[in-house]
Amino acid sequence: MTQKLLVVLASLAVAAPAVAATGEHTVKEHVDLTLVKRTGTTKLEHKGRATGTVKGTVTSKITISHSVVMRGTVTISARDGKVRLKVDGRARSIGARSNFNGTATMSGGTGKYAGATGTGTFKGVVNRRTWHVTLDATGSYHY
Amino acid sequence: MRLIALVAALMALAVAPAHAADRGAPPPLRFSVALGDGARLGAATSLTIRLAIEPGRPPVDEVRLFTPSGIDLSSSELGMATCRRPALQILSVMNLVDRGPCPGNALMGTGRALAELRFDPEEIFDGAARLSLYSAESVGDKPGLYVIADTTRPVRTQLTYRGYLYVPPPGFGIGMAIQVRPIPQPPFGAPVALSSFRLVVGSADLRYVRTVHGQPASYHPRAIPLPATCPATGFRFRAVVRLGRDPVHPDAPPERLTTDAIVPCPQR
Repeated sequence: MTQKLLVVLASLAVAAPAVAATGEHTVKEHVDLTLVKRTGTTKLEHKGRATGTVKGTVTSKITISHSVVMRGTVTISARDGKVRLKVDGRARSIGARSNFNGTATMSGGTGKYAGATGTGTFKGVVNRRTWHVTLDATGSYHY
Repeated sequence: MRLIALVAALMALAVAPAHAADRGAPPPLRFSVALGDGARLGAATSLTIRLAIEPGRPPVDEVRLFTPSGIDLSSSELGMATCRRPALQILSVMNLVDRGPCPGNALMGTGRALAELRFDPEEIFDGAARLSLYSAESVGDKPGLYVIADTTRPVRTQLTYRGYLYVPPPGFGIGMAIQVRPIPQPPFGAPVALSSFRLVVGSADLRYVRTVHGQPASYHPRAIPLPATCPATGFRFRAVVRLGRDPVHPDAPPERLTTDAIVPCPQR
């Protein structure tokens, strides 16, 4: 009887994280990016770190158009896989520290994030002299 | 047959004077843009924008300017600081002269404007003002602008107009809207109507200040970068001017005047 109870408890202990690991997950990220390459006047490549629910290194390729539209891809490389996001943002001011916000959509992933889908929003600040970026993002994803 | 020919000839005569009048009539909106001296493709330059509205039209309500695709402020250094003005000054439009209304590093362009003070159709006085275009706090979710007009005649005062940058129609680089609100309490009670302006954005004599090794250093901000290539037909700018309601025909819908300005391609 005791043996049976232990088996049940053990299966519950294993099952619980599995249930938590699938379904809807909310994320909250802080991202810090440094400019690593600039092509022409409008194509920017950044590298940096994400700290938050998903921790890891971040690379981004962004194209600026119409002075205020920022579109591109962001990849977060975490320990348990990679997340690729399409981002679409708008500048809200044009000062030295330009505010922006936008939306992010998961466009693929590897490892734990393979087949995951999700969306989020972000807002941040870009320094127009150095193109250093900090942003905060929130969202959710399924897998 | 002869009758038909006669009618046709009479109709042609009736139409001809109208065509001749159209050819001779000045356009309701004149608009031109010039690049700075020595402008080259792939390098930054200034833009001189000239706009004039035919006299007698209803007062201008809003001016929209579109740059050609590839010409925008993405990698410009203009407007590094942000101008903030009290909401009351925006509402009242006309205010006492403030000699330093905005940070110097927010200045993006300067120019001059002429306006009409319309006491009545027979009694119109000219007004003149110096213009300053500043980067400003956001308008809704768009990067904001202020145009501050320091009037020199007939009275010294300061007019503050709000504007913003936005995504333009396809084929253009950046849209700039300036809202020319009527002055709630205009000088001498006469409505003011914009006649013309000349605005130089990113002129060579524009100076900003930044800190280098703890010391303030003056520099010329990168103005408006031109793309490396130019369309065969030149760069096409567009002005759209929305007029207010016509006091003579208040039921008529407000008029919108649109015209393009082509700037020949500069050298590479």
